[in-house]
Amino acid sequence: MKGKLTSLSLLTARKLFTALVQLYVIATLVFSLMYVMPGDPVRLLLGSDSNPSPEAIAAMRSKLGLDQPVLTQYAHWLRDMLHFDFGQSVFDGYPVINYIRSGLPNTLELALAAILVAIVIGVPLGIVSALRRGTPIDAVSTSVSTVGMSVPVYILGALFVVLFSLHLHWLPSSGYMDFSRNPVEHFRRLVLPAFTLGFGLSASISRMTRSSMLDILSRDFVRTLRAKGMSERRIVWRHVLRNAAIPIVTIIGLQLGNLMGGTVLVEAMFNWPGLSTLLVDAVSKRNYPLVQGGILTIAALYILINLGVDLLYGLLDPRIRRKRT
Amino acid sequence: MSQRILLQLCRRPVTCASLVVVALVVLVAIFGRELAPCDPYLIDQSAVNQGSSALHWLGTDELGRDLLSRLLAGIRPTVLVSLGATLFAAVFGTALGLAGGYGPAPLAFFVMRGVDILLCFPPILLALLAVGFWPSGIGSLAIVIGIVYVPHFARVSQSAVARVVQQEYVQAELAMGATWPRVVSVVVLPNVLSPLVVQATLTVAEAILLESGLSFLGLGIVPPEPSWGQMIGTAQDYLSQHPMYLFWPSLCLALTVLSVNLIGDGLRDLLDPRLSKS
Repeated sequence: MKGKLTSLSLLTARKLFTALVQLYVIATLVFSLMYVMPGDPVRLLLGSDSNPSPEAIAAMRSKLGLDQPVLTQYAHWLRDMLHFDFGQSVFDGYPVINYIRSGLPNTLELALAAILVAIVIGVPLGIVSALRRGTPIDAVSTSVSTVGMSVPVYILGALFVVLFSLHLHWLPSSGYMDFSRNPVEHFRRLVLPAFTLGFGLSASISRMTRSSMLDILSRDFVRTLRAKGMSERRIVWRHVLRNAAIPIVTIIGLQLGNLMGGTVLVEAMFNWPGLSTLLVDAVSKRNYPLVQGGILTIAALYILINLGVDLLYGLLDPRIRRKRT
Repeated sequence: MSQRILLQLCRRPVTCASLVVVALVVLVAIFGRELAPCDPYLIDQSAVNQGSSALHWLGTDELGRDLLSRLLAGIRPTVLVSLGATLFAAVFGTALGLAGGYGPAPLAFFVMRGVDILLCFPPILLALLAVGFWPSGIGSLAIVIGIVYVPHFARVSQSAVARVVQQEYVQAELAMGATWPRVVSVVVLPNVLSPLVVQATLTVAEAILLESGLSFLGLGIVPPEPSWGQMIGTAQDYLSQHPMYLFWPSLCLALTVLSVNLIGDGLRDLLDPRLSKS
């Protein structure tokens, strides 16, 4: 027991260290963006004014902190990041962190709902097609998942809008409602975006479930269980699923991480006021502090989720702990 | 060798159909502007959001421009961007993968950790970031999307190279006094080509999706230049009046991506039998 704990904590420490290094490098990358990209950000920001006065340029420079030496700027940047201070939005002077605070919960809610939909559709589909391998059911579910992976979310979303909103009038086609103002309407507006995202994700989950199940079903211990006369249902539920779970959990975790930036198209099409919507808006208006803060938040979440998956993976599979220590 | 592979691909009906679709797409990308029945940029305020007619076979868009002509003309930027991006990613990714798999240990370490960090960014985010700071245009869009897929190629080629380098024929070549450029170009590269070809096919499909996603958001191909993603994005606003406006570009895009993916699957089954088991 003691050995198990130490190897686990060693694994945790190593993963944690890697995650911190990744975060640091990403913060540095995001900082350096202002310098490596072609074009002067100050000129771009003052773009509406074709010939800005030197005073305006100087004011904008000092507003962005660009008038200081690069290393000072870098040190300030890292210090501010540690305090979750991402600076102010260029246009209204509102702190970037407030924007992030308002967008992030919506993105997380959408991502979690989508993952839930994907699991509920993908896992049973994968199990059924593995157990009925080679039958029409398998063929149908495999082709559905191939199509699901090829159809862009915004096409799928449009199909859903046409069907459930314009024809059947069951759900609103887009928009957002505050939970505190009208909880029912809030969830009604979550359904279409969540299904749009989740349906696409369910394709790879069902694929992974199928191949992982097939892999385990062909193992010797399953043959032994069958030879012992154990019922097929018990074999599948008690033994195969448990062993097949690790790759499935991994892909679900990876997808949750990917959703941190991956909700962008669905947020745009359903007017969902999440982090990605903010980011797209900031990118098109060249609101650099908001772009940097948004990117950094999303990347940090992505790293954290992947860290969580890695640790969970070690917890689920004892062989991984042993191998790495 | 490539003829044999093509023949084998054609033997499977699904892959054969996909090859036909992709060949059509490429042909239209080259000759689309000449094939277009109308001028894809011609605005006609008297024929806004029309359904199909003898003059406009697939109808018109919100500015009265001919949909069929815009669909045909919209292929070229998409194909150019996705092929350019794949080429960029393949060249730089493979070079990094070679460094990571065959280069000296410190170099390999830094290259592969760098690749890991780039992989931390979700693809669309990375593209969004670069698009935000870079001037728009087909060339820079291709480079931006290419950068996104460099780490994927680096990973694939690194693991293939690391496997090949251990083989006896490479050791034999080295024992005979071959220099490293010779080993890399004559022995290693030809032997890691098949996973790279598969990766390239799948990257083309992903790049098409990414380009159309960016154009959908209004950050990719800049109007009035037509592109499928941008048409889909605009069509969403006219969903209730003119659903076919959305239907045609969506169908073209989905069919193209599906075909490229199916060719990739077929190639993988042919070139790398171990992977196709599942």
